[in-house]
Amino acid sequence: MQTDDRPLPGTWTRREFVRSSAGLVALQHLPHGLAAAQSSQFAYVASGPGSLHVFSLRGEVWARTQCLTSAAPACLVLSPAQRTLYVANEVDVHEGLPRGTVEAFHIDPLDGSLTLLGRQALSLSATRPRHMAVSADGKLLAVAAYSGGLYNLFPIAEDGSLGRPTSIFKQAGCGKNAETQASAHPHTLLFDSSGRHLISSDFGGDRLSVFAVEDSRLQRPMHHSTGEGSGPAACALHPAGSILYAWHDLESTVACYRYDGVSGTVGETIQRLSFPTASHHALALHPSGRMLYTTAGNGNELRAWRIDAESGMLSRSQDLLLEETTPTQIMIAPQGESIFILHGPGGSIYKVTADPATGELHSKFKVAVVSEPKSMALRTI
Amino acid sequence: MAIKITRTDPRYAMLGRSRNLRWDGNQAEGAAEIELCETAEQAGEALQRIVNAGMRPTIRSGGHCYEDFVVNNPGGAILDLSLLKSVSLPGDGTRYRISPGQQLGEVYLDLYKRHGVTIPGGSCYEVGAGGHISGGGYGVLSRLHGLTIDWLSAVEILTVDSKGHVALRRIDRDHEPGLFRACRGGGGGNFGVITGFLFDRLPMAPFEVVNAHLSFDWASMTEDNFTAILLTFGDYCAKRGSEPDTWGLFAALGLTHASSGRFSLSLQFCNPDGRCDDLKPLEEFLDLFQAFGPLETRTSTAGEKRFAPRSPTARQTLGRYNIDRLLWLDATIGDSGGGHSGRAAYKSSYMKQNFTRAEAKCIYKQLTRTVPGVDLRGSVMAVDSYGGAVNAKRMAEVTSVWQRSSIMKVQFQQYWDHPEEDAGRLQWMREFYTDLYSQQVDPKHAGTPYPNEYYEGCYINYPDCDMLAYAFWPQLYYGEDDLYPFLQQVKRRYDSNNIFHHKMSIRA
Repeated sequence: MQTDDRPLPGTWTRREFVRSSAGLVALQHLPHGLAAAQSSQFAYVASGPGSLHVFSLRGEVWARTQCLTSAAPACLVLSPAQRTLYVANEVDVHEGLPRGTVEAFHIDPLDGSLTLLGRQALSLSATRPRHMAVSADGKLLAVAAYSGGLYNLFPIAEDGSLGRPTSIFKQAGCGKNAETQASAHPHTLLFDSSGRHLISSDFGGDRLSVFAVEDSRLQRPMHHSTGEGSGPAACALHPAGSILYAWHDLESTVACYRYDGVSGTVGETIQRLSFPTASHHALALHPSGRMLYTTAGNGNELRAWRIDAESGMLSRSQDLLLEETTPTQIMIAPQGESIFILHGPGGSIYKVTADPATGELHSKFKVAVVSEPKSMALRTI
Repeated sequence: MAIKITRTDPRYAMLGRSRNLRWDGNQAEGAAEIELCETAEQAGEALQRIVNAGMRPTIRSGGHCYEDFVVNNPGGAILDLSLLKSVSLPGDGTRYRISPGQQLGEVYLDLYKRHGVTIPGGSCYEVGAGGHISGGGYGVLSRLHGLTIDWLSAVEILTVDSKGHVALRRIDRDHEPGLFRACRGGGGGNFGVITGFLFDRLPMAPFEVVNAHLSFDWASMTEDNFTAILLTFGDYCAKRGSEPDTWGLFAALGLTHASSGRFSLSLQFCNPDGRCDDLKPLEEFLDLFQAFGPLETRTSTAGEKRFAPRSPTARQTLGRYNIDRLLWLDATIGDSGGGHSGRAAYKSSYMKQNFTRAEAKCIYKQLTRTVPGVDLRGSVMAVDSYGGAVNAKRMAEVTSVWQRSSIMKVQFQQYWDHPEEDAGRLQWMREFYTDLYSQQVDPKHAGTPYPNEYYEGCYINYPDCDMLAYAFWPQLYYGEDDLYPFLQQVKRRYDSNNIFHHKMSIRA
């Protein structure tokens, strides 16, 4: 296993950071129509205390145009056509029963504003959903209930609204850490490029699971052990579809696995990188497939890893010092020109510009502040 | 192998439905399959298949669950134990075995014929032992002999470990004592699949009992008389009823809605030795109600089926009363109800004291209140005498039934046939309950019989999902002390993945 947590010679310093942040524009609460009329890009941010924020994006200026209450939004996902926003509410109880909820919001194409289409309860015991994935054809929404150890598959109607779950899968499992791995904890979901498989990391069960999706139903999964006490969490699939990258939260490693999209199986580990000092883990892939980003250090660094085109292996490329620690999400714009980093306690959202072709990092700006940002989605159409 | 019934099997239409037709409306929510198990081994294999397939198992023995905990299980599987009826003994000295699929009538017959003993269980012949005993198991002999779980020596149970592996355990006070205590009244569908209840000893079945019925005419009933009847009944339960020579007396007030015409007072009696040689306590009890002009009946009234006589060995008079003297088994498994399969709703409460005058007036008001367009026949507030041997305080420490101070146990019941009646009937019942339990309950817990000096909450075998509206619902069923945290601890230890869950299961 490689250990790679040293500062790079080219790492940005705090001074450089401050200089580059000089372009930070004071955040404004622009009138809804004014801000929206000048922008076709909108950011949606889930705030832990129970709200959704809509921002209109104009260059480096974010203007908040709408704020809605939501029970406990933890994950935001857009439909492929970007007409609907799905929100997972990380709650234990809904209408007196132990289950979380998902909400569907219609997005106004002109001003980006949200209108609730409907709210669906998850199946019984599917508590604290934290992650979701929409199938490429936009017909299915998969939801992972972290506390309940359950997966729900919802059908998506033409108007973007959700039906009752077509498939419910209860996972049983545990890890060696009695405190955090007493039961299965589905963490992150991904549809593979074929759309026929749903990949999941099970933090509690120390495994990656691949479900076949047939007739809108989850079939019994193939499991791949990630090692006792590893705690797999955030993961990302290379655009070519053959390499899966996963953070192992409990052992602070990033692993690269072969993935066979035809059979839906996770194969050998081709690389495992250790981050002994890392305490907060986030991970994202550049759409070019040439760069992977992780948090590093004490959670106060964004690290770019060059991906070898042949092997999929990672080599350290660039470090960027972040102003704050405890990032909750790294999110990348679809064209790869921007990378967004959400910081939990501080509430800051940073934008880092990047080369759309290579994923190399450039300038960094603080674009918004939201109380306890947990998840973000970007509408670019 | 268990018998697998899928949704395409013609038997699914029958076996996939709920007794309570309120839960039978949405076929899309029905279980994907039913596994009928005849042995513990079959149940274990089926459970492992269900867990491996990521399905949710729900468990059914007799199918009398009051709430929607079993049948509506989308994509899941019902583990049906109704064919698991073995009474063979494990050869370890255990004397009696009850299997979850046995109906109570079968249990009474089997124990009586083989051993001459019985359990102080319920009075509905068709109720399955699995759910009944898991929740405590009380009935007509409970004042005399306590709860069924008070006699339980060991349990055989299938659990699912944290890796998802099914294991059969035999648990008792020395082996897995925490899980054993949790299975003594914690309620069904929480910790695993019970495949056998084992007893080292059980009480002798009474030789004979006496049944009697009084009824009262609603047409001539005044609020004052109604109140006096309730206070008289409650006063007896609170005072004279606590004396051991009366513990063989089990009485039930069947307070039907006024539209039913009459309400009833039914009872079964025997002396503590299981005979009926000294009927003075019975006559003394019946005398208390003479002043209220009872009508005598020999048949049970609607909603009260527990004392329907069959083949009386002697129909005799006791002072001014006609009574039926019956052999105990005839009295117990005669036409003893449980056969209703229409729509139904239930609520419950435990009462530690007599009714207050205000409560009695409230009950009168609600039972005589009419709601335009709503037929309230088939509504009954059944007030059972309670206490006696049940109130042995030491049993609260070793079982999961903490209510050991009550003198009466109330079951609100409604039965009807047509879905269009649902809303009106349920609203009336909720309003009745909320009104009654807002009188002597602090504002924070108003609308519920929250544990206090008057009440001991609700009975988990009469589950009521309306109570889920209150964050404190676990305290209604399990009390304010350490029982619920204890059950949660057991749940985390033995079912860490929460494989067994329903709307009111123990929250881990």
